[in-house]
Amino acid sequence: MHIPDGFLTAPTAIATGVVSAGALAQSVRTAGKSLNERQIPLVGLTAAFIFAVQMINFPVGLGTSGHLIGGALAAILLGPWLATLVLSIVLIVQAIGFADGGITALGANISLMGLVAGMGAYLIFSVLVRLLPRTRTGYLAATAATAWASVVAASVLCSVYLLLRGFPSEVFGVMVGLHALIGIGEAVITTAVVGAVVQARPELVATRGHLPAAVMTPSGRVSARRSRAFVLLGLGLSLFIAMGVSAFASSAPDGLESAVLRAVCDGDEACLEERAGEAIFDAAPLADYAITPLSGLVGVVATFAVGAGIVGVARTRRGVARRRRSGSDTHAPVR
Amino acid sequence: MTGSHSGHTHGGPGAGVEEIAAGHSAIHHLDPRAKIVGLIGLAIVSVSTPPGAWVAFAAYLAVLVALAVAAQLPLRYVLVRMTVEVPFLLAAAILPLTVPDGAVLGGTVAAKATIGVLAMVLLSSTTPFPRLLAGFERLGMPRVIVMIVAFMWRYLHVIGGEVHRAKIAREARGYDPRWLWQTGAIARNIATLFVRSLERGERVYLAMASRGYRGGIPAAVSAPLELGRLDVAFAAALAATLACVRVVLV
Repeated sequence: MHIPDGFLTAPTAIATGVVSAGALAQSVRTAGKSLNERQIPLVGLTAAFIFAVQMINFPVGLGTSGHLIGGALAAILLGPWLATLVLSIVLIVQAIGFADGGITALGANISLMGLVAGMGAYLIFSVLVRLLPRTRTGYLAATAATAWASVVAASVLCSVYLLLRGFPSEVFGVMVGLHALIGIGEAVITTAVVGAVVQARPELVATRGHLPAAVMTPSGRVSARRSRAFVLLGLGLSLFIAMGVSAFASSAPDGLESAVLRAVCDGDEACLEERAGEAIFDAAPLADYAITPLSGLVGVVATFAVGAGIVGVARTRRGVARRRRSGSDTHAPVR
Repeated sequence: MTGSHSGHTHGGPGAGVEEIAAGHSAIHHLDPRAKIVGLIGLAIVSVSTPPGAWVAFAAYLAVLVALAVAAQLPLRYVLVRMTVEVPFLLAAAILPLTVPDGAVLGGTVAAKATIGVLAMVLLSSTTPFPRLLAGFERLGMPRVIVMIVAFMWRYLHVIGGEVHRAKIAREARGYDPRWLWQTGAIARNIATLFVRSLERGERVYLAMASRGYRGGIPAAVSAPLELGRLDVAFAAALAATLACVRVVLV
């Protein structure tokens, strides 16, 4: 998502530049205060860590591979200000050292992958982690959802920038649809990494305050029975809402649809009549689906399956991470 | 990770770039400030050029190609480094098919992106990173940022090397995941990398503190820079050319 030069209108480039410079200055100040300003080496090393993480390839399947964007990972492991600072530094180095992302688009790139993916991810996470039960599972579920949502949110803002430049509205569906898929990979890997760090060294995680107290002690384990009861209750409630409430759902266009229609038709009533109910983004998955109790059921079950898969991956890794903890923690000399 | 840049054992992300940046052409020897102002200036002027000014875009590109030739940059290396813009070029390629006047917009966007990428490849390939950073510092980039970036650059290669060795170790043990859910070992690698990075940061700080570091930020990260007559002439000539192109050819 590193936007090159020329893909932004001048007002977009200037406005995002000003906002990003302000956010960077504020994050230097705030992160500096909480770290005490002597810890510049630490900030440099965490920036190098995020940079390295973005270069590690994961197989996705069918012979393709992807890599982490790392916004949610940084926000959850490092906290909001340090994450914003570190992600911005990574983007600066990528722009001037690797020509990755245009120098005139640096502000926009920082706004996407520093502010939205870092600070935004932290806000999403702190809301979700409070809504979910205070267990290791709840914490990791919030991590997964945050990773997915931050990628999608950044892609939404990115497509807004491109729409302002005169790209066709299909860009929105393609960008967001693509990143909804990329976000699944981001969620799986971020959750696995955060889960392993929480297992091995919870005291190093900035958002450890949201972990249950038991996790902070080596022998702490979450009661499996309680979390299973919670899962079943949540699934039942979701099914009830999806199947019951969808019977009353409106088939009228929602806010975004009607806004787009109104723009397309320019106030022409006949055109509004004719185009109502048409899919506005043909490229979107399930374009123009109808809301019925059945589709509600499908949606809840599919969402649950993806979520359960993510948590399952994280949980099977648990035991191994704990075993590693005792053996591999050797200290290399400073170099 | 080492990609097509051969001859580097560490496989860090900067591999290849640094060997080229340490060259000895006239462009390499210019003061980093002259190159920073000149090349970033060129990118900004190019971005501010109105759509469809093909002659102007060709002129910017010609200036960059001339500089790349003068710097004796290998063609293949430059092309490989420019591949970062490919996904966005594909996005620009759909413009002529989808919006009215899309050919002009798509061509303009592609031209500006190419000019911007080439300018930054030229900058980073003719200036060793510490000198580049010293240039940015002297041009007013805040010292805290300069220090953090300097540390990051220094340890990028250490951490990059660690990542590379872990990859070799996994592969040597027959680890060959095909699907996303099989990649637990890589995820745990990253977790270990995080813990090690924080601990190394702590050790580096303690080592610095024990050698007299008190939290201040030392002046100029690298050797002092001197703006010579040649550097000023380079920046002035580039500025004059850009002004001519931007005003006369548009």
